[in-house]
Amino acid sequence: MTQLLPFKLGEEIYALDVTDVQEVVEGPMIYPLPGAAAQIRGAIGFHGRILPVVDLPLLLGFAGGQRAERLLVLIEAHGPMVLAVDQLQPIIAVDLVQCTLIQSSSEEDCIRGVLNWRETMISLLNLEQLQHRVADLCSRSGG
Amino acid sequence: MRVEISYKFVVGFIVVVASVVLLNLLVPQLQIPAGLHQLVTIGGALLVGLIFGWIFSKAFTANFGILNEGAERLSDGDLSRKVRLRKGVFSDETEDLANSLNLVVDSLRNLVGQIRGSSVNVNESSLALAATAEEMTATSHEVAGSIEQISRGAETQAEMVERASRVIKEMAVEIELIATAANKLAASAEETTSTARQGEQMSGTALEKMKQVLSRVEENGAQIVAFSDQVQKIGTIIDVITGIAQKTNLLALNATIEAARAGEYGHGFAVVAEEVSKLADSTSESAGEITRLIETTREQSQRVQQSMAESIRAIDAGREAIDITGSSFNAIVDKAETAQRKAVSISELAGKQSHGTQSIVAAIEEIARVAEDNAASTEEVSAATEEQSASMEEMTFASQRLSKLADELLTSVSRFKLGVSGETGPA
Repeated sequence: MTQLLPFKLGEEIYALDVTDVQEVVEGPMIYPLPGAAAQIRGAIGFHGRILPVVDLPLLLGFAGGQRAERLLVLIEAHGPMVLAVDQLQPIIAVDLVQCTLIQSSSEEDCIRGVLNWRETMISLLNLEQLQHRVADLCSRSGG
Repeated sequence: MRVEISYKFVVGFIVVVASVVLLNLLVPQLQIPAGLHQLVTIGGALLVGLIFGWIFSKAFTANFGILNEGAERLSDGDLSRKVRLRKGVFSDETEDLANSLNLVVDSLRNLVGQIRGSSVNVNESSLALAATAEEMTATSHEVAGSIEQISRGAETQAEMVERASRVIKEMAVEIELIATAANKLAASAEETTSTARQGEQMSGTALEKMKQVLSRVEENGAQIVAFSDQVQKIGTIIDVITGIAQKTNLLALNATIEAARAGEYGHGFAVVAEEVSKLADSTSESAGEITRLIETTREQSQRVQQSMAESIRAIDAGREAIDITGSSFNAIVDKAETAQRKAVSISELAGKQSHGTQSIVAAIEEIARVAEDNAASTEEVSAATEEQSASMEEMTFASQRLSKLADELLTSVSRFKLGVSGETGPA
């Protein structure tokens, strides 16, 4: 059994493995980063460290909506960085073997796979691709 | 000195005889032949006789001529002059005769004068009478015409009186209707008065009730405001609870993440974290429900406050309306009392009028009777005037005849000449 943390990006539902998440923080002060790309909303202080906040819907090309108060802080292995999403949903427990896992065809795609959970399509985010994109963004903007 | 004619003849004879004797004595003394004595004596006697005879006859003839003339004048009707004999020394029977004639003349003259005056008067009077009779005839004709008019007028009058009587009777019926209507009006005005008084009392009571309702509503408004404040406080408390629930949820979420990272060791912790999350969720749901309820309550209380304000305005308006209603009822009471009084007086007046019309009906019937009597009387008067008219014509005729008779009498009397002075007494 795998525990997934689903969230909304626009009208789509994406999900992360709970083990990829360090912590969920609510309503921290976001300091804007001058000269950064638009997809980088700014930075927050987290346990004495400064972490960048990535606007995930903007990065993945979804229409801009109201971002949730709660931000996802990823584990050290993935940056570390903070993701701003549209809406967090309660954690679900799924059996990834039983679920239909569609292998991604494109290397550029940020989707690791798609599963059908209770008549809802949930896309699993490919964090490595995402990390690459953010790294690209940061290198292009000179960060 | 009065000497009768016979004595005068005797005296004359004696004088003649004495003169003859005297001549017989005187002649012989004259120087005339004796043969002539006898002749002279006879001649002297004849001469004396002739002289005396002439004197006597002259005197008698003159007096008788005057008498004759006076008698002839009298027979001719000339009464203007009296018989006047020559004044002789010795009066005789001729003077008596003249005096008698003069008496006759005077009597006749008086008589004729009286007859003439009377006949003139009679003529004038009869002419005046005729004129008067004609005037009277004309007048009686006019009277007849007038009476005919009066008769026609009396018929019209009778007709009018009948019509007036009918109208008055109809009027009497109408007046009775008016009296009945006025009585009903008085009764209904009384009812109106009592009803309006009840209404006045009711409006006073309603005003009191309205004031009570107003104070209640104001109290209720204050209570609702207090209630709203309480609900507001509950809202703030619920906000705090919601915050706590969210925090708890977040904590549970992070605990779940931590538990997941701990793997098999964190399983029990994960269960607890899930329970905590569920509790936080249900707390959050309940808080949300309470918030919704508070919203609804607030909206409702606002609506209630609005409607209370409207109610207060409506009650104020109602109070004013009830005030106006009270004063209107007062006015109605006044008007109704006035109407009642007027209706009562109308009723009384109508009763009086009814009596009056009865009197008028009686009077008109009396008038009708009098008019009928008048009609009968005018017919009688008409007949009488016709008779009078006929009599007047007869009278005119008679007076004309009388005038003619007076004329004839005057003509008869006009033979007599009376002279200038008709009023001389007998000489």
